[in-house]
Amino acid sequence: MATIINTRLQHEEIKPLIGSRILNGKDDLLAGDLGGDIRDLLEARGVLVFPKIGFTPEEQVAFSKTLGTFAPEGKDEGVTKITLDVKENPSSAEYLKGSLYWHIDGTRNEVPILASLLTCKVPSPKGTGNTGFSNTYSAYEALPAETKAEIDDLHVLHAPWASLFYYSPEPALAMLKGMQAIGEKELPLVWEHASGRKSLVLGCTCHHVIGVDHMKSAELIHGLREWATREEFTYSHAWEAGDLVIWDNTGTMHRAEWYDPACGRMMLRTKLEGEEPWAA
Amino acid sequence: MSVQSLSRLRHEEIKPKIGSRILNPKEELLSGDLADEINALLEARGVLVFPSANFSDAEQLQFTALLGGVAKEIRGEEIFKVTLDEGVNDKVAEYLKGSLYWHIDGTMNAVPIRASMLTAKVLSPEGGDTDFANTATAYEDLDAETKAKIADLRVVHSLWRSQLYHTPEPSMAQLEDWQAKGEAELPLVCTHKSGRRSLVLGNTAHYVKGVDPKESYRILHGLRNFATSERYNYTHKWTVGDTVMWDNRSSLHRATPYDPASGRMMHRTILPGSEAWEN
Repeated sequence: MATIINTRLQHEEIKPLIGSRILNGKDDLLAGDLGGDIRDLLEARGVLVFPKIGFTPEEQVAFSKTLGTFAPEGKDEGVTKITLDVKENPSSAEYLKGSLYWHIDGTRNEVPILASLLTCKVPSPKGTGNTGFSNTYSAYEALPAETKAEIDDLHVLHAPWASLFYYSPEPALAMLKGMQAIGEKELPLVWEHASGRKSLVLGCTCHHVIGVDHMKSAELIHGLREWATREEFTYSHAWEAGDLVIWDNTGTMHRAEWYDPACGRMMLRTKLEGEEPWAA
Repeated sequence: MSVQSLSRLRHEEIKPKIGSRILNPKEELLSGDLADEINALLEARGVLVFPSANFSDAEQLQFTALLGGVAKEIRGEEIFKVTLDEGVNDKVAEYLKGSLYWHIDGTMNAVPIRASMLTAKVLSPEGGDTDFANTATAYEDLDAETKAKIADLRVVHSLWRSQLYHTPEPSMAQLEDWQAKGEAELPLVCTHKSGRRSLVLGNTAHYVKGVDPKESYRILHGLRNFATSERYNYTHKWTVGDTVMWDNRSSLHRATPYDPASGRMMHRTILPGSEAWEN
């Protein structure tokens, strides 16, 4: 059976170290029997693109459930609208500012979400509003052995309040306290997954490397972020209406690229529950 | 003579806790008779505005010299052209982006400059105001409990921290360039020879030594928040020909954002430091 399924998943590389395009049609994907192969490919490639697949919200939910445990957001079990339209999202400008820097979702949770799935309903004008991805498995694997040895056992304090300073470096005290109340968490700089593969845990939530002086800490955090976001480890997706993109949140960083909040861009998101806690 | 001078300096308060306008004409300012009074008023008020004084470069240098001398700027010049225009300032324009955030000049030097003087030559059509905050009157108004809590705190300042305000995702090369400028440890509360105290804050203030990061950020940003609040701040909206000078050790200042291509141009002179951050 496995052989038959393998022959059915049709895909092509986007770049050698990140991203694949899935070429199967909607019916193949919704049949459910490709779920396991898609999961394996997602882990291997970081980002999967389903060009103009055109899922309805119900189909996106059904497809998500073929890949893992559907993680409901909010009250209903459906898709979540991602838009900066002030009618739908009153604090939209702040939301956008916070998403423009490289990050991993769920750095303050015990178990980060496994993956996010985004469908583009209305794209922003060309050249704006791409989503950028960085493969933090590939980036780790390509590091020189001596760097790996230097960083393998380091830990980093992650805090949403640290990311506040990226877009609002002079916050009001009330804002700072509000963000600090969300919490913070110490995570390994290098995550050894149950599979044995290792990835870098970076992004704008990094406050400092534990037990290292501030200058060295900044060099590690920014130096590794610069490395992991080099051309060969990154892919910037230019959205077309109907595109679906899935990324492995445990082996990538992502960011939004700027777009006009008033342009009407509308995305629909579903998430998959995490299956593995951050390594100790 | 001094009695005569005293009667001659004409000034008015801008706000109770910060700023005075000097109303004497240029000729009187350049006569030298008013220098001591202007210096005393500068310390008391933090910021002095000389509306439409229309100093030429030579006159600005003369006036600066009368008040305590002209210190050399970054590249040895006496008049520094403050502009974000890369064509004029090359790499310095990059550093000047940091001037859009509250800061004190010279937190990396043992003896900071005493004062700066800016004359507006070309304005930006939008933005480009200069904001000031009086960190001495703000300190005076802190409650006794806060004063006691912060009295002995030490703060590490660095250029590299300030550059992250405008470039939060730097390249390694940028970070190394900034970090090469070093770090300096300063008291959070600076005690002047006069006995006055002021807060040492701004975008170079990175962390309070020996305090956990969350608390450290609350202290530094809470105090910056307080010291730059309405009561202690003054926004100068420029007219070409205005000169403004400020007591650098007891003021925070910043420019409000403007288009780097607008041609905005300020000519700056600086007065040599007279006191170290700590004695």
